[in-house]
Amino acid sequence: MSEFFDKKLKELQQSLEGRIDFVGQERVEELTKQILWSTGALSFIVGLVLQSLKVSVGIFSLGFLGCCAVVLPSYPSYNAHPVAWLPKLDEYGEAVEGVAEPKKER
Amino acid sequence: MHTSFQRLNNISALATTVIITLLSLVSLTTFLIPANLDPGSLKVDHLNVLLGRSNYDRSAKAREFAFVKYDLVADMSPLFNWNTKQVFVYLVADYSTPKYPENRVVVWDRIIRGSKFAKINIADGKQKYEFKEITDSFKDVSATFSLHYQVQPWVGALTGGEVVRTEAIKLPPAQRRVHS
Repeated sequence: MSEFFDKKLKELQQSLEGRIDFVGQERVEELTKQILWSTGALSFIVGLVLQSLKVSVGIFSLGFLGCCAVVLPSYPSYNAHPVAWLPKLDEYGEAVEGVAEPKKER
Repeated sequence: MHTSFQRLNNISALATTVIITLLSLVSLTTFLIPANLDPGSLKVDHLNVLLGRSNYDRSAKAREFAFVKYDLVADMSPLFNWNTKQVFVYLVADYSTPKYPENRVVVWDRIIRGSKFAKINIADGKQKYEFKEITDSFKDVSATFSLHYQVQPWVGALTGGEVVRTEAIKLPPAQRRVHS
């Protein structure tokens, strides 16, 4: 029974951790830069035109929250390029069929 | 960037940089947006000097107090742009005496919190603060009165200036306060 709960807990932990692969990380980095700098520029221009600092800060806050929504969760597209590991070798150095299993944690 | 927490850390760091850039640009626009103030009009109608004691210290030695009444018309609304929090306007009396060549006394002020309050139109205005001389006597003093402003921005530097200034006006000799 406790094994079951341990497994569930670990699953939950991993889903909250939100790991993404290397390609996803690069995309997220680019997206962050683009979204934040463009909302910054937009908020400056709109605020200058409307002569309202409130509007300016509001637009930037919305942009930041939007960026959080786009970037923070580990969407499946950020995990679409898993690392292809080399095949597992047996004691004679021959490739073993099947995908390599990660080492068991001790 | 590999976990959600790492990504949160990363984007808030970048957001700080962006918002600092944004605010420095905003503070720079203060100097680019022109603020052309019309010269208002300031007239000091009544100026008299009484010998007396201040209200809060009745036991003090009798000294001279100057009393000012003025008409003031000014429009401060050009000073209001997106980076203006409020504008502080104040009426200053400048005068010089042989012993102290530079004296500036604020006799009245007002905080303007928005452009809809920016039109000043005061007829027969009274001073707000005591106008007295450090040597106790206004003998042979003539003062010029001027309206100054200071703009307090949301971000950036304080700026200020002068709107209107009167000619030098001679303060009359002191009268003894008449008790009725």
